[in-house]
Amino acid sequence: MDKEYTFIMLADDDEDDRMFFIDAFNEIKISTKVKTCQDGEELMEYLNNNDSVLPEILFLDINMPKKNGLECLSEIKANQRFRNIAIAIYSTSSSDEHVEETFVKGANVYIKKPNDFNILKKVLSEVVTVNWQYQTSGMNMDNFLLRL
Amino acid sequence: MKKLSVNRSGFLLIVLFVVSSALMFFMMGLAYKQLEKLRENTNWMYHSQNISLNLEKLYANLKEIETERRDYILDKHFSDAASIIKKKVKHNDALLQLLKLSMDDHPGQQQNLAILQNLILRKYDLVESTFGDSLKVNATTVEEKKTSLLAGKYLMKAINQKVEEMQNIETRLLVQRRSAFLYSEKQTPVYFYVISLFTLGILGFAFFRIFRDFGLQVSANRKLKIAIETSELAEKVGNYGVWTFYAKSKEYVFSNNLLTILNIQMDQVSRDAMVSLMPEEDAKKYLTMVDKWRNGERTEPITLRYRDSDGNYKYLRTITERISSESGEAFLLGLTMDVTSETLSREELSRAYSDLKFYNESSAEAEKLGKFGFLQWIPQDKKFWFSDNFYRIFGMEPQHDPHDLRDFYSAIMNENTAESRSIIKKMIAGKPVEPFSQRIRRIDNGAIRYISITPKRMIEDGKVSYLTITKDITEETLDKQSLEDQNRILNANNQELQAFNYVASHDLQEPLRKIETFISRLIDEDFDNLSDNGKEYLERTKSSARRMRNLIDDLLQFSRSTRGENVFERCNLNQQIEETKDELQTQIEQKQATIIHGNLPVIQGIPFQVKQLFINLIGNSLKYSKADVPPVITISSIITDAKDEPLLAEKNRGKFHKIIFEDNGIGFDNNYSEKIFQLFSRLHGKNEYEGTGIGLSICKKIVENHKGYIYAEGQPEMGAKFILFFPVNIQ
Repeated sequence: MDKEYTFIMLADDDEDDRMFFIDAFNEIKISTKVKTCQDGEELMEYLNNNDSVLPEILFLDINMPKKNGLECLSEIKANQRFRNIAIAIYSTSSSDEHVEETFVKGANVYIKKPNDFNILKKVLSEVVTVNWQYQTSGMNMDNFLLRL
Repeated sequence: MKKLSVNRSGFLLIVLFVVSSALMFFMMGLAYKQLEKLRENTNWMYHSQNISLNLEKLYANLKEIETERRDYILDKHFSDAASIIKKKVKHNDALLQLLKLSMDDHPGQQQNLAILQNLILRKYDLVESTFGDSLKVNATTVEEKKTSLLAGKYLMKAINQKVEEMQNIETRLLVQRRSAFLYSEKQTPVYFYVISLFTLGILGFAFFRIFRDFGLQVSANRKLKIAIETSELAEKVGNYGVWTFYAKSKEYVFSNNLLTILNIQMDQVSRDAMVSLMPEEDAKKYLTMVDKWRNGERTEPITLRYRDSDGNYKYLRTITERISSESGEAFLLGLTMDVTSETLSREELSRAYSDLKFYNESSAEAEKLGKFGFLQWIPQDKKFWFSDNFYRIFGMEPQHDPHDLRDFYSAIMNENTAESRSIIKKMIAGKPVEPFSQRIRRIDNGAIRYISITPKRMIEDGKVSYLTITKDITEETLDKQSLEDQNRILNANNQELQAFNYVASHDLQEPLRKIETFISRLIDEDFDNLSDNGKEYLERTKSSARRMRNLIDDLLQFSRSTRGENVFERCNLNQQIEETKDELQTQIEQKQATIIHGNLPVIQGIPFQVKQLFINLIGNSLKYSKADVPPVITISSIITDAKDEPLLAEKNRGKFHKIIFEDNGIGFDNNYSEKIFQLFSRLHGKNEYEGTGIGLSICKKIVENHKGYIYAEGQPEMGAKFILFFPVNIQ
C-alpha cells in the first residue's frame, strides 16, 4: 500500500463490538483509519454519498436492524462504484447458510467474531495486510472462512 | 348300405341263359334241318342229274348203236362194230341198272323205265336181227334196208320220246324239289337273322346285367373296404375296440384295436387271463357279464378297471348289443372303450371342484376379515357381479339376485358425485381407470366410511371387463389421520424447540463473547492491578465463561445436527478426515498425536455433519488420552453385511461400511458403552476432564441422520473403540 493509511469501515449494531474493533486497530501496528456505522441504512447512506471517501476494506456484520448485512452486500456488489471495496463479513454466527450466502454474494472473506481480544487483533491485522485486489481470482469456499 | 339285389339278378340271368340256350338250340336245329334239306336237295340234284346223264348216255349209246347198225346196213361200218355195240350194250345194262335203282322211289318213272327197257330190248332185237345175218350183207335189199332203217328210226324216235319224257319228268321233279328248297332256303336266313338278333339282344342284356352286377359288386366291395378302414380308424381315434361273439360257434372275434387297448395277443385271451388282470370286485362283475354273453344275452354298459401286462391301469367301458344278421344268425356286438382319461379327468374335475368350493368359501371369509369386496362389471354386456362382502361394505345384506351399480349410488357423497360419474363414464368407454379413494355413506346407518377402489381392467373374449377390489379403509384412514395430526403437532413442537435451541445458543453467544473479551482485556491491561483474590476470582470467572462457551458451542452443534432437511451428497471420508485433522491441528501437535487412517470410502452424506462427527470422535480420543502416552488413533473401514454383524443383526439388512475409530487412551468401563451416547451424560467430573456431555450425543444424532448406527467398546486403561455403520445404499 502506497498510502499513509488504510481506510477501514465497520458496520455493526453492537456498541461493544464497535469499541473492540476500534481498540484493536489502535493497538495494531498498521496505519489505519477506522469509521463505524451502527446499521445498514447508515452504511449505505454514507457510501451512496458522492462526497464520501470509500473504504478499502468494509467489515460487515450480518445481523443489523433496518438493513442487514446481506442486503448491504447485495447492494454494494450491484454498484460498480463500490467494486474496489473488499468486504469482510464480520459476524457472530458461522452458520453454513450465512457463509455460503455471503460467499455467493461476493464477499471476500468471512470472519467469525473471536472471543479473545488478542485473537481479534491477529485476525484484523491479517485481513488488512492481505492485498484483496489480487485475491479475487482463485477464491473458493475453502479460503473464504478465515481460519487461523 | 343299399341291399344288393344279387339274388334277383341271378334268377334273371338264369332265365336269360335258359332262354338264349333254347334259342340257340332252336337255331341249331333249324340249321341242322336246313343243312339236311340242302343235302337232300343236292342229293336230288345229283340224283336227277345222274338220271338225266344216264338217260343221255343211254340214248347216246343207243344212237351209236343205231348208227353202227345203220352204217352196217349202209356198208359204212368199221370192222369192230360188233364189239363196239357189245360194249355199248354192256354199258347200257349198267346204266339201266343204275337207273332202276335211282328210280326206285318213283313208280311213274319205274313204269317209264320198264317201257324204255322194252323199247331197248326191241332195239336189241333189231340190232341182232340186223347183225344176225352178217354174212349176208349184200342180201338185204334196198327195201329191206329202208325198212330196217325206218324201223330203227321209229324205234329211236320212240326211245327218244320216252327218254325225253323221262327226262322231263325228272326235270319237273327237280324243279319242284328245287322250288321247295328255294322257298325254305329263302326263309331260313331270315329266321336265322331274326333269331340271332334276338339271341344277341338277350345275350347283350345278359352281359349288361352281368357287367352291372359286376360293377355293383366292385363298388360294394370298395365301400365295404372303406367302411372297414373307417371303422378301424374310428376305433383308433375313439380309443375303443369292437368285438363280436357268435353264439352258435361260441367264438369271439376281436378287432385289432381292441387287442391294442387290452395290450394282449389274441392267443392269450381267455376268461382266466382277463380275470387276472382286474381287481377282485371288477373281476366278479366281469364274470357275470361273460356268462350272459355265452347265452347270447346283451349286458348293460359298465366300466371296469383293468391293469394290462405292462402295468398300466385303465378304465374300460363295455357296451353290448344283440344283432341278428340277414341270414338269421344272431351274434353279440361288443364295444369296449378306453375311458381312462375321461375317468381320471372326471376325478380331477371333481377334486378341482371341491378345491374351488373350498377356495370360494375361504375367499368369502377372507374378504370379510380383510374388509374388502369384489365387483366385476362387463360394461358391454351390462353385467354385474358383486361379492358378498361388497354389499356389506356399503351396508347392505349380501344378495344373489342380479343387481346394478345404481343400487349403490345412494352411498356416494355429494363431494364425490362428479368424480364418480366421470369414472363410471370411463369404465363404460372401456378405458383404464386409476385406483382412487372416497368417502361413502353407508346405506343402512348413514355412517361415513372411507373406501379404496382399485379397478383392474381386463379383456376377455374381446370385451372389456373390470375387476374392482373395494376395501373399507376407514380404520386405517382414521389412524393415519390421527397419526398425521400427532405428527404435525410433534413436528411443530420439534421445530419450536429447535428454533428455541438454535436461537438460544446463538443469542447466548453474544453476551458470552463479550464477557470473554472483556475478561481478556481486563487480564491484558489490569491483571497486575488486582489483589490476589481478585486475580483468583478473575481466573475462575474466565474458566466458567469458557465452560459456558463450550456448552453453548456444543448445544449449537447439537441443534445444527437435528434441524433442517438432510440433503445427501457425495462425501469422501478421507477428505473429511484431512479437514478434521486441519481443524484439530493445534491439539494434535500439542499431544503429539498420530492419526492413521486406511482408505475410507466415499459415502452419501451431509458433509458438515460428517466432519463434526469426526471432530468429536477424534477430539475425544485426543482429550481422553493417557497422560504420558502420545495418542495413536487408528481409523479403518471395511464393507460388511448386516447378517454378519452381531451388533446389527435384527435391525437391518444389506451392506454397510463399518468404520472403526480406535485409540490408545484411557478407555472406559464397557458397562457405560450405551450411556455415554446420552445427552449430558459424562463419566468424569468437570475438574478431571473438560466436556459438556453433548459430544457423543451429537455423534449419535449425526450417524442416525445418515441411517447408520454407532457403538462404543472400551476397557479401562485399554483405549476406546467406536464402531460406525453407514449403509452402503441410502434409500
